[in-house]
Amino acid sequence: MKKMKKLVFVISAVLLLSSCATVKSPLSGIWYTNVKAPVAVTGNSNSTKVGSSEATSILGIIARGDASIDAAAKSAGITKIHHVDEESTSILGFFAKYKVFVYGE
Amino acid sequence: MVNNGIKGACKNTPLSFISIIILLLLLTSNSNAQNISKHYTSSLQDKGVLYYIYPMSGFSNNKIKSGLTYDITYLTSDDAVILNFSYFDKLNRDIDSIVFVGSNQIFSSSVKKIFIETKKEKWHYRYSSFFLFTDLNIFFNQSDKPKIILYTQQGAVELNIKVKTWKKQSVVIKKILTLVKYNQ
Repeated sequence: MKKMKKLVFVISAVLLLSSCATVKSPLSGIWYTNVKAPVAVTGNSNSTKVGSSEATSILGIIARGDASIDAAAKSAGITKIHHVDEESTSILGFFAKYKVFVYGE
Repeated sequence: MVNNGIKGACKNTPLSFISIIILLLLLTSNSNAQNISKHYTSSLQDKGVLYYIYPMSGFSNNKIKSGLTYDITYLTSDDAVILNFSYFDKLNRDIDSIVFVGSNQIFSSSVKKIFIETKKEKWHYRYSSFFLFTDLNIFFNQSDKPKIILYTQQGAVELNIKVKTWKKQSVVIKKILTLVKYNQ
């Protein structure tokens, strides 16, 4: 019982002391967010390739990943960028994901 | 009486709150394989619609602890689908080709290097391959779990997938490919 109390205390402390997992988004919901939005557009036309990159956060304690435009473009071998979109997802502040999509050729 | 009511309500609150959270998580999780909107994007281009299926993982070789993730790009005016993949392995590899082995058919493609980097203690091999749209449809329409073979100058690497993972993955991709066909 004591062990259980300690465990509950530790979990509660971790949850209370940590901030929520937040994500960059033009619109956000407290419970659930899944929003796609524009980032940038260039003068280049006709995309034939798409690349993506992402970063994730758990409980606002751990956040890792490479959600850069460079990483997304590189993943598909894109040298001419047409436009860039983003997608933000978060669930109850426990989990958040930020994705970048690069369109180009 | 009132106190009992409040006590009862307090007792039920955490349970109902947890139930709502679980329900919300189930609704928003990937377990609903039929909800394909979270797995692809589409963009209107001069020559057609450009579809992009988000990276999928699950193919791995447990013996050498290597794994593969792939994403699919398809422009509706083309016959071929671009399949870019990342392969993570501790060993040095020169990948020549990728082969999708189904229950009845085999589809292969030569590969084009995008880049090679390191990720922690492993090598990150990023390559591009091309498959016919019709071939990919056949491959993802099979219910039996397939395997991927990477032919490298250092030998062939066989990558397998769990049945459960394949069922989820193939249902999603199959539905997206059907959507693409409807819009062609």
